[in-house]
Amino acid sequence: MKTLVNGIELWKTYDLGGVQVNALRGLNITVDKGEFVSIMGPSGSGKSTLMNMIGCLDSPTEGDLFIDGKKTSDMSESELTKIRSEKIGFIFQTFNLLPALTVRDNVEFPLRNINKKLSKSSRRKVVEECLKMVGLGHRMDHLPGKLSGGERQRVAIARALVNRPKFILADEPTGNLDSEATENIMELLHHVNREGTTVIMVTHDKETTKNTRILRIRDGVIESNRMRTDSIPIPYPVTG
Amino acid sequence: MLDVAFKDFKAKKSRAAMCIVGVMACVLLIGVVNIVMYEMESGLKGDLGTVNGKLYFEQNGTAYPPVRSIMNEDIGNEVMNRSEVDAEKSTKALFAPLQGDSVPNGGNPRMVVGLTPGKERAFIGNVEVDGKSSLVGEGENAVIMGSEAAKDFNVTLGDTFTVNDNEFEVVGIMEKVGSGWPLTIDNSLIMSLPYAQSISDRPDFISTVIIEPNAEYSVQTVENNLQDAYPKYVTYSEKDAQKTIDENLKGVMVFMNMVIAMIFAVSMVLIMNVMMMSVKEKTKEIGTMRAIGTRKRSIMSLIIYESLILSSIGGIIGILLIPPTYNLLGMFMGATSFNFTIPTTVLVQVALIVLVIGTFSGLLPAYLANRISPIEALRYE
Repeated sequence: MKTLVNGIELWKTYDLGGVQVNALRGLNITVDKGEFVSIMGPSGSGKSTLMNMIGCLDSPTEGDLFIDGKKTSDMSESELTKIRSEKIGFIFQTFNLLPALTVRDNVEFPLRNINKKLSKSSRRKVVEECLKMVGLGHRMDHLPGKLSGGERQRVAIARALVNRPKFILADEPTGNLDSEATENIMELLHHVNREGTTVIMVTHDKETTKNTRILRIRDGVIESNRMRTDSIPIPYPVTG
Repeated sequence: MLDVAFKDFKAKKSRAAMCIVGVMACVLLIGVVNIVMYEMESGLKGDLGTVNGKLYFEQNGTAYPPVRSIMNEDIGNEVMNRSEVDAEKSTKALFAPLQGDSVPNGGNPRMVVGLTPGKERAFIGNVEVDGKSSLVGEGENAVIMGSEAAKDFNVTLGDTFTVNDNEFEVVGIMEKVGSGWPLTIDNSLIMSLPYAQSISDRPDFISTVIIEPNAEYSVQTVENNLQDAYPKYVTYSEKDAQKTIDENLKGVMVFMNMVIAMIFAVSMVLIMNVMMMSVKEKTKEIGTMRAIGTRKRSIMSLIIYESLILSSIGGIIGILLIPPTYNLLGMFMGATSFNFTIPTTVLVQVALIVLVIGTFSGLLPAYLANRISPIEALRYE
């Protein structure tokens, strides 16, 4: 299976007022194409630092990180921006939708960032497909403020998918949702994963790690790495 | 990104409205000050337009109107007979303040302009005259009045009036030339040279010869020839007229431009402040945009577009309000006629100022937005 993310001996050292703090201490990570990986660990273990690095928002102080075969550790800021727009789909705990834009415009936004020249009608078609897939075909012209938490996260998932990224990076995607919405979102993420998109998710909630490979981080290194197999989730009902 | 900027702008209606009102007020002030300057300059140009393509042969320094210049009429005859001078279109002239005339409210003095009858066009050029535009065949006390002088003496065609025991009969009234700052033509009383000499106690004296060069001579050549032939005399030409305009307006222009610069700065600070607030509020959004792969250049465009939208809307409303505001101010100052058009030069100037305000006031906030680290911004609450 093709390796999508490969981090070798990753170190990240922060200088906090003259004190050197190591967030990552020679961490090694590999994520293959098509996997669903859950990253767990206590606060301060280095999860967010690792996520920022895999998300090309940050670079390691030492070590090499390869995304889809390309070494990102030496890339310029604009090259990292390009990788983020083309290969990664982001999902945030607090949804991070742009409040002035409608659901449709929010989902369409990442398409502005890629170099492929898509016509307006093609862009619209792709956006509508994504929104229908997450079951929000009937809410396209609403503003995010008019949606529930679960719906907002579904918009965020559609936004993350619209560029057909190599993988989705989800930072506690169910952290702000109730149990029913959590279940729906996890079903949706598994559905997306089954369709072929790799998912890397940071989570604190054990319930959300069913049928995923769990990487436990502690003190900047991976403490354990195991596959959790549960009952196969119910296929995501496509509506809208 | 323009559509996103517009949607952002619509989402923050009250803040945008306050900013637009501020910009509108600034543009309005800049526009009105610009129109005042324009009117002053065009007024002077109108008055001095009579000099265009001509030469005023003078003594005692160059000035317009040549009231301090005095020379014997014989010198004038000599100049008129020179080959460079088109005698048909040139004339001897006497310029003198109207004696015994009291000017109300510190206004411009009414000026006696004595000309050889039939040569009035040498002084008034193409100015339209209601009534007679020539004194030929009229009585010796016939006058063609400048628009402001006619208004001040409250006279119409055919009226007679007396100043200092001298009676005048109005045979023509000129249209207004100097819009807003009348100096000579609008305040003049054009009469025959002998009558002007008689009422000014200057028999056989003139102030100047208004020279229209013959077709084969350029103004410059005639000027050089006259300088060589009459070293004690000087000539006042179009170049000197421009100098007169510049000298008269120098102080006022410096002051007005300072006022404009201050309003401009206030306007810039106003939008910059709003945009700074907007960037601060949008920190998390900017972080999200950067995280999902939006280029720094696009973030910069977004902020500058928003700033341009604010300044353009404020600017357009401000420009639309300039004519009524200017007319309202004019009404308070006693104007009776109204003009609802904005001179193109003023319109272009104000539009450029709006564009500069919009672009430059967005630059610093855009630069600051670009410096936001996406990691920090995503954590921002």
